[in-house]
Amino acid sequence: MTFWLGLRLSLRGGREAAVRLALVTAAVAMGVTVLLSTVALFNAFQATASRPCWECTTGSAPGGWALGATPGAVLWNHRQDSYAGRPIKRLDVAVLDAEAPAPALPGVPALPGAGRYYVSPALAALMEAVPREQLADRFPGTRTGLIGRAALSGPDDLVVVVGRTSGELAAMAGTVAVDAVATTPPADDTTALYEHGFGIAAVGLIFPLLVLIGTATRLATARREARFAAIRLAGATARQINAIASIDAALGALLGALAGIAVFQALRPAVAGVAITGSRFFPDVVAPTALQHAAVVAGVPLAATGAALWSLRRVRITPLGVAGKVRASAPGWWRIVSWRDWDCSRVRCSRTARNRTRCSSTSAWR
Amino acid sequence: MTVDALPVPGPLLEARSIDRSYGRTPALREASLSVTAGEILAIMGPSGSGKSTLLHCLAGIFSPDTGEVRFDGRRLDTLSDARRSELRRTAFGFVFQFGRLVPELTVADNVALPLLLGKVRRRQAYQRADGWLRRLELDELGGRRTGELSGGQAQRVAIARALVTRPKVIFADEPTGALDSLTGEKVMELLVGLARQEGTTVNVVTHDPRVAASADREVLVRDGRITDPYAGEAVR
Repeated sequence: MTFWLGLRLSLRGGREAAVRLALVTAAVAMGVTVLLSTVALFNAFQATASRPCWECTTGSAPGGWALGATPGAVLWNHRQDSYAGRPIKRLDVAVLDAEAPAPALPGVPALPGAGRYYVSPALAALMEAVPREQLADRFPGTRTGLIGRAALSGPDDLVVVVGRTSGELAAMAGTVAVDAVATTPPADDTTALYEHGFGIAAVGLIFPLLVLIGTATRLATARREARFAAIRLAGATARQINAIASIDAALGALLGALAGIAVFQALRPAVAGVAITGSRFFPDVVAPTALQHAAVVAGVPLAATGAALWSLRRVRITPLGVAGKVRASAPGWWRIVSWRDWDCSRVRCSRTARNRTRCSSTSAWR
Repeated sequence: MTVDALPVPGPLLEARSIDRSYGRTPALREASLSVTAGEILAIMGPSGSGKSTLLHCLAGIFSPDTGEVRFDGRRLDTLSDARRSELRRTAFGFVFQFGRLVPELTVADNVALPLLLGKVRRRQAYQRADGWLRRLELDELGGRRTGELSGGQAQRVAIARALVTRPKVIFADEPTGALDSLTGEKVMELLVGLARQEGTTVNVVTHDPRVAASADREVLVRDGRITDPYAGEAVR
């Protein structure tokens, strides 16, 4: 019965109720979109950060690489190049023993032999877009294929793996002998910083929306309280009124959560285009998990219901209107700053049938 | 010759020396009143005299600051909010000045509301509501929202809602206050007529002598004290 009554009051409560429902729905939808986007980007960040870091490979015995290399080792020279301000990860490798199994590099089927190279899709596109002498001529030999995403942080990663002779690499500074490619994620101090950043950003973005939801739920409060008072007069208990008020909030939150999921799905390609760490993530990793979706759909209406009950905790709907008991509390700094809501001693106020407010103490500023 | 003493029924509703203040402003002072079953009582008095406060105390909407209110021999003022809500659903009916209907709901929904809140099965609740709507010649309006009704129609719906639970007491606060005199007269005739048919006690607050004329008894509230308008002395 209370569920039916709550639905009726929310859906057929006239223009004010419709506006309130629409505002709550819109605010929750925005909140959910922001929340899902943040979670999705966080997931993408984590998935990328936990990628095996082949770039972290360190060589052994850099001083004696040529003669003392173990069987199957390769010469390895990893350095940073750039084009038009965009960094290019460049790896030059030379297989020392073609008969022995060489270390495996993620994203490529096998290390390229001398005169061949692999490039990432983004670098391949860039090489085709700019004059050859500006970029492609830096990489000697012919292109063998594209580097797979296992070796990349995102679709914009510019990576090239160039096969060289051991003699060519011997002449390059920074060349090392490598017999195993690193498979662990990078030990990056900025990861924890980014994770905290995501949390702060989520709170920072959602807080204004919570304020909007709070404002929307207080819209047409007087009229809504008059309805509740009429229902109390007909015999509803305070608990039934709380349930009806909760349904009102939960309905808006549920509609908002579903709308937010739909909006997020529509915006997902754009969200995947956000370069939080300087480059975009692969679009398919920019997604919340099923559990996170479920938590949002269930959690947001629950939070809205809780907020509705919380807002009613100091308001008592009587059959004649609203009566609230306000307990005095020491003003916190936020109240001093905002200079509002100074409550003196215990104040008992009630709104009468004729919408007049009666207070037992006139020293209350309300 | 001896005559066996017949059991004398106690008052159905009783206020014993009740005081009620709003802040420092007293609304009721040492007010005492008894209402017997089936009686129609008019509570009269000028604006601000405390007559509505008295009615609300008698109905358990307000608790008096001091004194007692008894219904059917039991203390009403000390009951929990849930028990008082139950009384409003089962034993009391209300007809207030502006109907106090829920405009989002239909006429039939409003009349069935106390039954539905009391977890009466929906079909049964609407059957009983329809019966009362027919009795008050409102059956054609059952599907209309109450916000679309005239003042007189709304008050008739309020009467139907008040009577649908077959209450023991109806509390009416200026039931004709927002109506023109002719409509108000009809509404009072209807309320009093149905209450007499059902044996329901009615406490009606009014400042209209024509409304009071349909009552069995009148009391006058002045400055928070109850007086007998004819005896001119305090009734205790």
